[in-house]
Amino acid sequence: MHRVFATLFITGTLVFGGVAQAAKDLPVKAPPAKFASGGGKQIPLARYKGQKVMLWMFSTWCPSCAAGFQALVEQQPVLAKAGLRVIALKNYRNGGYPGPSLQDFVKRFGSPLLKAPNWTFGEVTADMAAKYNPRRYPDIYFLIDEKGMLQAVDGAPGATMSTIKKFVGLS
Amino acid sequence: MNGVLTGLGIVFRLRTYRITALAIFALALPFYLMTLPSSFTGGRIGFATLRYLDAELTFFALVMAGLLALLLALIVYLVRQGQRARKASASGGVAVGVLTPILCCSPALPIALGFVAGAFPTLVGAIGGTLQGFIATHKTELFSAATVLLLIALYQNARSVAKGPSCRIPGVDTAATPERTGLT
Repeated sequence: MHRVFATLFITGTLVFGGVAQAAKDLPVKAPPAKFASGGGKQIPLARYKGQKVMLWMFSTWCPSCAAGFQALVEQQPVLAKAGLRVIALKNYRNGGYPGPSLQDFVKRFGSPLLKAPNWTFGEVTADMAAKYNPRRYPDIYFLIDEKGMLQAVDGAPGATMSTIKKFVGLS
Repeated sequence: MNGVLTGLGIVFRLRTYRITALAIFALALPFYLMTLPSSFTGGRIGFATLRYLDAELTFFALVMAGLLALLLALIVYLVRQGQRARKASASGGVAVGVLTPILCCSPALPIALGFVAGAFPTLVGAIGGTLQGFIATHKTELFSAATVLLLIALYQNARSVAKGPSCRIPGVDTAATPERTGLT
């Protein structure tokens, strides 16, 4: 039984140690990168300078991503009012495992967001994955302020909504 | 099967072990109820995960907590009797049940693979996502496997209880029968 507890301890250390490490070095300037829009165009992140941006990379097989969409649908009115721009991108190669298409996934878990003016959908490019998500987390988001500074990194928006709300000035 | 029921009967005839099992169940059930849905919270375990409970996860939480309670009570009985308890399957069952939701969508696996990526640079890309995706899309099968491991452990330990302590003399073939030895 002690092996089980050792495994759990190591897992816990990795999860929370990793998050702590990511948060320690912030804020930093968000690296320049481009993502692929639905039409296949390459769009630079710099286009959104001056806005509070949540850059969210998700995989369509990931349960916390589905839960994240559902939570963001619930919070959409307040987050939109607070001026949050959400760039929701399917991970490069869907995070290494097949799943539903971006359209099908969003229709299923966050259909009201497809028409939301403050939401942009697309896909992570190889270059962007290398800069923002080299470890290929299936569910990770970056909160970038109006000056292009990366203020916070986290995952599972459904479980970390307070971080997002705090970023846009909602308590 | 009779051996299993006999083993369970021997242990749970005693009030102490009934109370032990109930106490373990009371602790294990909330633990499983909060842990199994943690794939929806990126591996975070707490009261917030309870909102993601559905019928399937509740069923597995009840079954695994129940089996764990019976199993630990049997193990305590065996240890107190000076007998050897079988813990490998039990550990495996608990580990698979708990790690499945944690590993699927948390940073744990990518970070762990990141440590070895220095030696094998392609490992993170090739294995990390594939493994996490597999775990995320096969949760039911993995929870079933954890349940089966706990059942195997329960079976093994209940049979040990039913058999009772064996008196072995070192160096003597205990399987020797009068027929085999020609002493009839």
